[in-house]
Amino acid sequence: MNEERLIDALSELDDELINAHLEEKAALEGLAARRKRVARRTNKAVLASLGAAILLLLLLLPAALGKKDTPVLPGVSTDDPTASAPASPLPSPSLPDVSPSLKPPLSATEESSYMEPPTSESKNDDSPLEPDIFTTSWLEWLVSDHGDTYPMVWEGGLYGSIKYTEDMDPSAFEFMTYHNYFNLCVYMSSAEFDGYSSLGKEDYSYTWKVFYRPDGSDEDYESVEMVPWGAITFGDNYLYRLNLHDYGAKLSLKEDGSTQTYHFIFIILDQEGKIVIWQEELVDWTDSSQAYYEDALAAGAIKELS
Amino acid sequence: MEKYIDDGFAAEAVKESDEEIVSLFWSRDERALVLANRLYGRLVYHLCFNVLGDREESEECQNEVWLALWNAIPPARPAFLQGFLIKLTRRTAIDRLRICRAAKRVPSELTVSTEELYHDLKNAPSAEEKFEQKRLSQLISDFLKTLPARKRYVFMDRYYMAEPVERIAKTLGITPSAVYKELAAIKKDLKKHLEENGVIL
Repeated sequence: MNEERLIDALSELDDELINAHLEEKAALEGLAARRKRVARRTNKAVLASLGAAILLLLLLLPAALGKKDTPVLPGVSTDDPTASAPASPLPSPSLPDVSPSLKPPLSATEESSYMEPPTSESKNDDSPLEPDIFTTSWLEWLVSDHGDTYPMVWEGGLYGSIKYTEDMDPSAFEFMTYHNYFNLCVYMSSAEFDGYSSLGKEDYSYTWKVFYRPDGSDEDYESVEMVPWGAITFGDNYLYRLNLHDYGAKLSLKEDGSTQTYHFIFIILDQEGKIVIWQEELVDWTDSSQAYYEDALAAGAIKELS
Repeated sequence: MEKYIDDGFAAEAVKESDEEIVSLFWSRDERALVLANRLYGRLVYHLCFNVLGDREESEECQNEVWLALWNAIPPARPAFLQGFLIKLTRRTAIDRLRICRAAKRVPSELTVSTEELYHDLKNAPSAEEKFEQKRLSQLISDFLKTLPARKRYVFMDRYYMAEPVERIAKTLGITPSAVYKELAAIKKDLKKHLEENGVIL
């Protein structure tokens, strides 16, 4: 028996075996993907804690050493608060002033004051988009009409409008991609949303469901937390991001509460910041979204489609 | 047959979509292809790539699979479209691999002319060969059904889906060397099983 016949024999295995394997494969790969995401989140958290601990240590150490080595000047009482510098007690470190990660949240405008827009070096970096590109400062820099010096990111921007109702078939705004890594930016306009001032706040409850489809099926999904980028520079609009790794995805919005209308701009970027697949025919582009799009254009948030 | 992992709800959902797509194929509605591509396109491409190892070839192979599927349904009415499609994909990709391999041989006039001659003179598999082939498939299938669920998963993923060992290990949350060990043990048992049934490798 030769290799070719073995290959053919394997191709004709029982349907029962193949079907069972495909079901198991989908379930297991879904689990593996979840494990990976949890591990990534955990690693980030551990690294952040470690970083904070090291910073704290670095802050405390010189101060502690300073106290030990402080000379007591002859004739000067260490109890005298008016005495010269070395006699002052160990200063209590003010951590929030030093570590940006421990600072209370800043507004987008404040934050941008100490964060630089990306440079051409960062664009050529092989690392994924995060965190170089997806920062509030980058967006502010972008919407302040510098987009044309940063090729590909918004150029030919994918946009659309989806009127979502609770009973809507989620597949109405389904998309698929075959890319291994992509970022989906969801720019959510609250233009036609009653009570929009609460959008993006903690008291507003909604989730995105991302359906990972390692085998092309719908079953493996999880809620993905939307990460607010904060208010950007025009209107009461919010930008959210979902970073989706490894799988194609089917995206649908589930929202608690009454029927609402949202407008979205979807931008799907690969790791080089290039726009990838979008199934535009799934998007319901209405007159009001055209008006919204023109507003966004006028405000410099997006560029004209090429 | 014991399952390594069972997700009955998911299976139901897939079955529902499968039935819908198969109905569209039967009514010769081209949306069937769009839906099938949306549901299974990634998996089909993935298997093509595992077999062919080349992006361009895999894309072309994927197109061939959709055409083959269009031609196969009707008359077929698969209850589990995904399995049917994967079987079709594997066959199509292997055929393509054989063509690619032949094309990559030294393109001397002798090679080309001999290939051409062989193509015209070779016989279709005889009834005996077909019987042997079927028997071998059945023996392997029977053997796989006796395996513990995880071992069967490892075998199927490696030798049916042509997955890299590293990927199988990652999926199962074990090391690649553990996968290799399992594969070695399975192959040893399979060899014994085949020999006991008169199949000499």
